[in-house]
Amino acid sequence: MRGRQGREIATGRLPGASLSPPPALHTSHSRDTSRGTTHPTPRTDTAAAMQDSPITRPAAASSLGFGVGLRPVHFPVILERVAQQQLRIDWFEIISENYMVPGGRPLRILDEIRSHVPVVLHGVSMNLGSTDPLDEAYLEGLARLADRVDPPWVSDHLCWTGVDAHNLHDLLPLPYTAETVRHVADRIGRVQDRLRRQIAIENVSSYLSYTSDEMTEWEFLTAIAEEADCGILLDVNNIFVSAHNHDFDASLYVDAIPIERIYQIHLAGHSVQGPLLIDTHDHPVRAEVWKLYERVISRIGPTATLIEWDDRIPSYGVLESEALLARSLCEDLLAHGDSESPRSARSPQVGQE
Amino acid sequence: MTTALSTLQRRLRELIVAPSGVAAAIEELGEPAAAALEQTVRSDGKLSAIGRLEVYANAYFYRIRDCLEGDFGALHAAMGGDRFHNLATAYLIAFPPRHPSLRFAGDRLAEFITAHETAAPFRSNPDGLGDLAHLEWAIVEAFDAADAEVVSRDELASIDPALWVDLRFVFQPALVRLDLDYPVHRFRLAWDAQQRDDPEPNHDDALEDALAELASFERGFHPILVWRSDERVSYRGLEPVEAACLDIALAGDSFGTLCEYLASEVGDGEAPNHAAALLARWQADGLIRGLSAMPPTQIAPYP
Ligand SMILES: [Fe+2]
Repeated sequence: MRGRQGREIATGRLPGASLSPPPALHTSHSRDTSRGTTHPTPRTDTAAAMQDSPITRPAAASSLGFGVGLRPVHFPVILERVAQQQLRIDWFEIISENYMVPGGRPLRILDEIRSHVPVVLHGVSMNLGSTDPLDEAYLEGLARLADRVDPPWVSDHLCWTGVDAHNLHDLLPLPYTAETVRHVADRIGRVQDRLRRQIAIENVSSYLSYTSDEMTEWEFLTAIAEEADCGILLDVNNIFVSAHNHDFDASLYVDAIPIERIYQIHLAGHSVQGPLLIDTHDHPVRAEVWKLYERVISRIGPTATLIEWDDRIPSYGVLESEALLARSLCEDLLAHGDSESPRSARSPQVGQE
Repeated sequence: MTTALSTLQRRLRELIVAPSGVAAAIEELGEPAAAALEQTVRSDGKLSAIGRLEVYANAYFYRIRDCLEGDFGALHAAMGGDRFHNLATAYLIAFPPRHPSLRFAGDRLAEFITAHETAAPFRSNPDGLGDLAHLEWAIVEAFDAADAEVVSRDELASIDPALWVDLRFVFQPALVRLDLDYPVHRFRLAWDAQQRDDPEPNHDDALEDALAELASFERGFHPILVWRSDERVSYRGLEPVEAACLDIALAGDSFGTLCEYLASEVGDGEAPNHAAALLARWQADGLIRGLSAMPPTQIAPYP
């Protein structure tokens, strides 16, 4: 029997987690060394990237605005805000699996909220990195939910969640090898064919790394997104957590991700557990993570941003204020840093108070 | 082509799910396992490979244990935290989670408690823990079962009396019939009341009383109905006659058959009133989706 003591590392329930990279093996890509650590001048990068690549990200990536994860405990207050046209955020994200059910209250409320604002589907069980076959029944259920919700995009994690049909319900990191890149990119391709839409993959927080790694995490993430032609959901907190856990420089990571692949950003709180940071989603976003977020926004311009909070969930007002803080940070940043601020970070909106 | 990756994943999974933790599992498996882990997962000045994998082992166990506690709250209260912890440990060994959603993590817990060879310590003290798990899982199932319109009183009243004898019931899908050995729904009721009014100390007393009552239940026959109506899940004990009538109707037999059974139980004189009362109750509870002249096999499935 499992001993009761000493096994108390709580990680968030059903969070979006993230991966860890190894200590920087080769940081050979040309990230912008000219950039200061704070408030780098924005926009030039964006322009350059747009010239280099014919790929453009979906319009919603820059226009969607600021959202929070939809959690049942907040249903009543959200419905009230929606009815009074006083929703101050722009969109919600749901954990797809929680709504892949036949019926009942959560689905009915989802439909109601969706009739007012966009909802992104964020899954935790696609198991993209596993060597098990893709779960056809799961993809079928996800496709049905996507038809129902018509989300700006569907996302899941760059990780494995189980093997031999044993679901570990966790987001485990993958070895950063060329073989894994091929394996995962091929599976993403098949998922995208099945769903008939592009997906976005999220970097997870990680607590271990593999001796077989051949590249950095950001090289790995980029290689897969490009080979599979999919989007990236950049979890800035996960990058911060993994950078600490594996001793690499988070700014190298965020500066290296191709701008045109970044559909969305996640922000969340983490915890300190001994020598590691753990992606617990049970705190406000930490100051250092806000700083890293500013660095990302300065580089890539307005980008759909979402606050995740899954454990010790606060009142809706507290959660909302985190999203509003992200909005005001972006507005300040883009107003100061760039006279041609790409567009207002505020999307068309009802009932601004 | 992905042999290296599948070997890695199997190696990690074996250690993550080991019931006494990664370090103990490595010790048990011996030197080759220790070497294999060191060759796979990087150790550094911050933490060893074992320590790093242990984070995942903890997360695996506690995430699922917490989910089970959420779905089986009364069972947790009846067993106490320590026993529930051990139950979760034994359950995960016997029935590792296979479904992609945590929603289904507890789908075999009742079966495990009632029938699995390693579950003997959880079948008694008090008796009826398996029944309680059955009841709580039925509540989970009813919560997000398919939606369906149900018939109104007026719709029922408008049916030509001459047709009734051949009509068959179509029930809504968020409905579970259980036959339990112990009336554990009484304990779940006390637990529900405590959940609603957390800070009220007298509910804690009521739960204590319910716990004492749970320990004193005698084995018997306790038919239960669990259903969802207007997004609320309810459950109640059934009188044996109502349970038998409901089972006749659920099996797709006609209202006439139901009435014949009632006549044999309560007499020809009482049967029509009794049938009308059942019908009114089932309608009011939101159980009846419709009535059909066709056998159930010819009725279109729920959308
Ligand atoms: Fe995330």
